[in-house]
Amino acid sequence: MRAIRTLRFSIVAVLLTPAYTPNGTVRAGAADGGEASLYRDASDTAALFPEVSGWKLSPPPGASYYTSDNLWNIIDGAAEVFLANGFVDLRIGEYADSSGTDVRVEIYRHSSRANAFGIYSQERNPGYHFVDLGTQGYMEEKVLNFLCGVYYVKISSHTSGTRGLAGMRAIGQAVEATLHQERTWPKPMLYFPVAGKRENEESYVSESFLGYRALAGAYVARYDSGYRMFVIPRATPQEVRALASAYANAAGSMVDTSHATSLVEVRDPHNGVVYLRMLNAHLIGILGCPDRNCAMSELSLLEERIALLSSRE
Amino acid sequence: MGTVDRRGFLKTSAIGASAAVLSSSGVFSSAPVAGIAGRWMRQQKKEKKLITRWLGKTGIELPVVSMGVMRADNPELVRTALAAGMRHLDTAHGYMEGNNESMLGEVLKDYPRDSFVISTKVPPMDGKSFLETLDVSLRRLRMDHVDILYLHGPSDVSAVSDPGILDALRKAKSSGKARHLGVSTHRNEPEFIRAAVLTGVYEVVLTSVNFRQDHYAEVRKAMAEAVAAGLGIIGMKTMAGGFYDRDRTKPVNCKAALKWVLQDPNLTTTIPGMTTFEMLKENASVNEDITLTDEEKASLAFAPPGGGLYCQGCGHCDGACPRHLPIPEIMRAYMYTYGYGAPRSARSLLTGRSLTADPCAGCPSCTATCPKGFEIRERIRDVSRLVEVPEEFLS
Repeated sequence: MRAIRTLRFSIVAVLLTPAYTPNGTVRAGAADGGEASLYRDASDTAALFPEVSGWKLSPPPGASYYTSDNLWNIIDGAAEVFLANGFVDLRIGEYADSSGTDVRVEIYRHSSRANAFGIYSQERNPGYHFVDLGTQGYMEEKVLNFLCGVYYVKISSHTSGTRGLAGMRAIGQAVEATLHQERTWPKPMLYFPVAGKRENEESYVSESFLGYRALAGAYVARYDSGYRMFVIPRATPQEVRALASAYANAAGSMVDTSHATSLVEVRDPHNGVVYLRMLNAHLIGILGCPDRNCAMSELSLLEERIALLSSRE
Repeated sequence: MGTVDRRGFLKTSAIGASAAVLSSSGVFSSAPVAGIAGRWMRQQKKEKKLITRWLGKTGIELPVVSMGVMRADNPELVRTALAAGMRHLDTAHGYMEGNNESMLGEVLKDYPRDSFVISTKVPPMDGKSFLETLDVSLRRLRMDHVDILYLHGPSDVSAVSDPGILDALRKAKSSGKARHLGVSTHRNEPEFIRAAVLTGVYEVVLTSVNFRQDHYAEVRKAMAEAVAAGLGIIGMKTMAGGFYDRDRTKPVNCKAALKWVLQDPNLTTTIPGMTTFEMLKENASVNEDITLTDEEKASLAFAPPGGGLYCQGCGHCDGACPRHLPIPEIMRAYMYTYGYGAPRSARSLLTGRSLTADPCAGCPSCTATCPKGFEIRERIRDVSRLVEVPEEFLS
């Protein structure tokens, strides 16, 4: 039986893997902070849907595989945000047990851990009940979603109560085991000073942070004080300077970004005053600070953590 | 408690936190409420010559460009859009697991309710759940009603006239939770538009419409029929995906694409997604001038070939294959597989023409060409493998 299921998913996956994703490899974008893609071959679908004792796996009634060409077919306008976060493909499997409990598993693959975190963080709400699954997950009645490396896994069930929850949990754990992903957060997430940081409100904005095309790939954290700090990794200090300059220009702010160590003040007509610092291969910044001294003080804490964590590499 | 209620409770209970999360950026988030509303009022008083159109018989008049709210991470974009004269904001229950509606609720609480027109969408489900889901959306939006409630993208046209759904929609309207009813469609648009007209329930159709649609003439015809029947039409996907290529490196001239669809007076407004202020400014300018310049026309006319999945069956490739392969049918099978996610239909089409897997094997070079730039041989190789898969394995 297992062999048949494996054959089924392998064949369908191979056949439906478009030619433009040969071997399932997708280059990591600049916004990924240089992270390598971790997922395996795209045809390895069978391994993504594990055999779970007491459960029968089958394809969904509709299509079971989606790419960027037809993602809208299943999630309509919501597809835009997934595409902006490096969506690669989606596979769907459905489990059922003998009591009639159903569990649907949707595995969204993204081009990097940063992008998977990006879409997860934009759909997450700090009020959810978080569970120990993958890098992080949350569970509600009939819904279990979790982040797992380059994958964003959405599990749902029509069955309410303990049976549905237990089923989702068991299958979720099995899916996590088959995905073989590290449970760690993208590294820039660790840079943010912990004191006063709002838990589960960090995010990754892959495109157009603050509404500017230039600001791609921003990790953002919010603080009780109302500040927002961000880190945008780049490959070189030159790229960081170019990034700061492009943002300042787009915001119509005349600033000198040639001195790498100084605090740059951008008077953004849409977002207020944004303070920037160029820190080797990172552009760091803060919004919401009442004055320059405050910004200096807060950013120095961020800078210290980046230096500390970088020295451990 | 069902899923909807539970989610709704969680969302509502999280409002204090999420409101702060979503209210965003320094300067404006700390501004007094009256300040923001006042800013809006001042903007509205400015003399603007916006091009507006009526939305069917709803009594709603809208500028031709509205805002599809795609992301929740920058509420300033919404405020700026309203300040620029846009009135209509489009969201959906499912966007960003509800964070999209929550963000709008946080932003719009500072504006007079009659200063904007908001729509949300609920997917097909049983009538009771449909209405519960609408209630969750209203709580997130912090409103007692939406201006347009859409049935969200039904996959099957039969859902458009499903009695249970129509009953739920009517109840939503009679209870005052929705001022007007609509349906959204991303596929087989003419069929869905005509089905909506026949029900006599829907007042608005939100449809895909763009310059790259091979069946645009039929979409336009269906829109005209709907307008004649008193419905209003709102356009989406007007940028045709925004890029010509899958790697998102060849952008569409979005301003030109937007103007292009607005040449049809039956289209009341459009809801392009806007994620940058630059994009917003450009789109807002279309509200004052929809005239296509020669340069814009050229940018659309000379769009890079090769994108898209849709074979129009023009026949250009027919007879060009030394092995007499039915290329138009194979291209259609490719579209079924990758465009519609319907490989079983594709397989049926291929086996009906007695095709084998990789029928091009051994052929030194492809002599067939496609005016749309399809890589014919590559597509044949990809899709023909379906014939080797037992039908029961395909959806």
